[in-house]
Amino acid sequence: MSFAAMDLLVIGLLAVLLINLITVPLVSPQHKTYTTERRPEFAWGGMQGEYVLFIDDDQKFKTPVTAEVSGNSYIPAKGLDFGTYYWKVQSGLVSSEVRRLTIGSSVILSRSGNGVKNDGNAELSIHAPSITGAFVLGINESVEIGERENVTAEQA
Amino acid sequence: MSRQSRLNGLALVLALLAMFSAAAVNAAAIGVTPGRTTVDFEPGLEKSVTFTIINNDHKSFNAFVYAEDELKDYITAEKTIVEFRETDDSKPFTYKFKLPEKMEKPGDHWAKIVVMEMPAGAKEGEQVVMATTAVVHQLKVRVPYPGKYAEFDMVVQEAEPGATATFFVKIFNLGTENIYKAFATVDILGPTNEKIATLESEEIAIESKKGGELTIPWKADVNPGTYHAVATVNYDGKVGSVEKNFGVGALRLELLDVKVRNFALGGIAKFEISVENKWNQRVDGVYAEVVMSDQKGDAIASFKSASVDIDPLQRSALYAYWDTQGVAKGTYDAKLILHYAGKTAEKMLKTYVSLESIETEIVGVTAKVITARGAAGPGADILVPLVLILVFINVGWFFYFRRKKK
Repeated sequence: MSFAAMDLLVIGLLAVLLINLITVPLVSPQHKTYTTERRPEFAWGGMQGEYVLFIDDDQKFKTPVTAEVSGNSYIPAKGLDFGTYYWKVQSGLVSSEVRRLTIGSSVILSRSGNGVKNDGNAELSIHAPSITGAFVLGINESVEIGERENVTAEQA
Repeated sequence: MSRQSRLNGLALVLALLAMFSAAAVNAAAIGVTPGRTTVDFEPGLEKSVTFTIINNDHKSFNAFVYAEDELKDYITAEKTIVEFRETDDSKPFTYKFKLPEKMEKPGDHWAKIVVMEMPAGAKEGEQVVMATTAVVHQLKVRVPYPGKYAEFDMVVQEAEPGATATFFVKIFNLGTENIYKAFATVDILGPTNEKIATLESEEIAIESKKGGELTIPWKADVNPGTYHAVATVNYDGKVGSVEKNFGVGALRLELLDVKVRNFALGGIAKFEISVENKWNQRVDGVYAEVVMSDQKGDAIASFKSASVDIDPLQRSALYAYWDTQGVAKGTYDAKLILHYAGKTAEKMLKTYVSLESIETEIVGVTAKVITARGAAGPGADILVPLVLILVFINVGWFFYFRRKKK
């Protein structure tokens, strides 16, 4: 390897190192992620230390929800509402880029024999001939209906 | 769907229904994401919406898609049948809508895009009784209310006792006019509806069809427990409210002490387990389970207490009985498992059994309740030395090659 090439390699490595020292590199979720996971894991790189995670539905972070984290990842204790969020991580004066994340509802109905189960991430309104009125099925909840009944589910 | 395509689709379904004979037992799993798309009404608005149909069970089937409800006539789609194979996780489906020039009635208006599961590979000429399973993607069109009108939501960022909880009051301006001044007052109520605190927000302005958010912090200098927040929102002289329960700290019972009185080896040992409810509401159905092990770690006995209900912030005793017939003098390890509110908390006890007494000593805590605090990612602890090593190597290379070059 020539000296010039070696110099470039060294400079490149130093540049990567410098970037890691002056910013917080985000790992996941990727920018513009769409997910149905209401408790996504936010992960970032950098040295182990104290970080503050900012999550907001406003790109300018006017009213963010914050979490102080000792480490490099965080899973919200409660599921986030459906919608689009922006998130970033800060450590002292050093801040990461801003990423966008969309959490979408999923309406998934499983049926086996005479039972239907809500396998999605939102409460469902169930419509079936044997059910009168609006019946709301919680996440992971099941209800019995006739085996030969038509059933329709929609987000409650 | 257009009227023509919808009718064609319905005809196809009826034909399919007439073709199948096996009144097969249904085993289905079908899904859509997102479950809802919301748009604000604009005269003549045209848009394409794509949602995903999920083949949750990875099986072959045909998804029949059609529109229904109030706005169904404004929906069109190029196809009505989507074929799935076992290998397909999901497939996108796109429809278009074109709203009318005018919608008189303010509020929410809906179209429902129904995705119905139909069996794949149905044979012709068979007769049928068939149950269908369907899921719905909703199109919600919000028509603004004349004048000033807002709806509200509240999100609470909970906190540990002594830390700061934050109330986020969201205001959606669903009126045709801008809101120039909106603010909220949040009343925090305790378990007996007593007022604990009243908080005031700042003021914000919100344009028509836009949302705004008020942030109201509160130092939660209260006992752990469930509390109730009532946010009263005032916007340009109009008033509305939103309320929500929220928690401070975690529901937790503390094991205080374990005693055995009036004991004689060979008889029944009565374990008196003292527990304190740290929560501000009654915890029902609390019981303890004790698993005794010998010095080899083999379980020799397991016994449970009756269950009790413990009032908020009160202490109570649980009684569990151990038949010591055939038990030798000596030291035993005991695992005490406290069951409450769907959780378990464990403590290890050192138990010294003699002829006339049993002494217990709490030796440690094995927490099974998972906390939601952030944790270091895998490999985080080797990151610092690794970075430092890289720094030294790189700086070393840099100077070495610099000097060599000269």
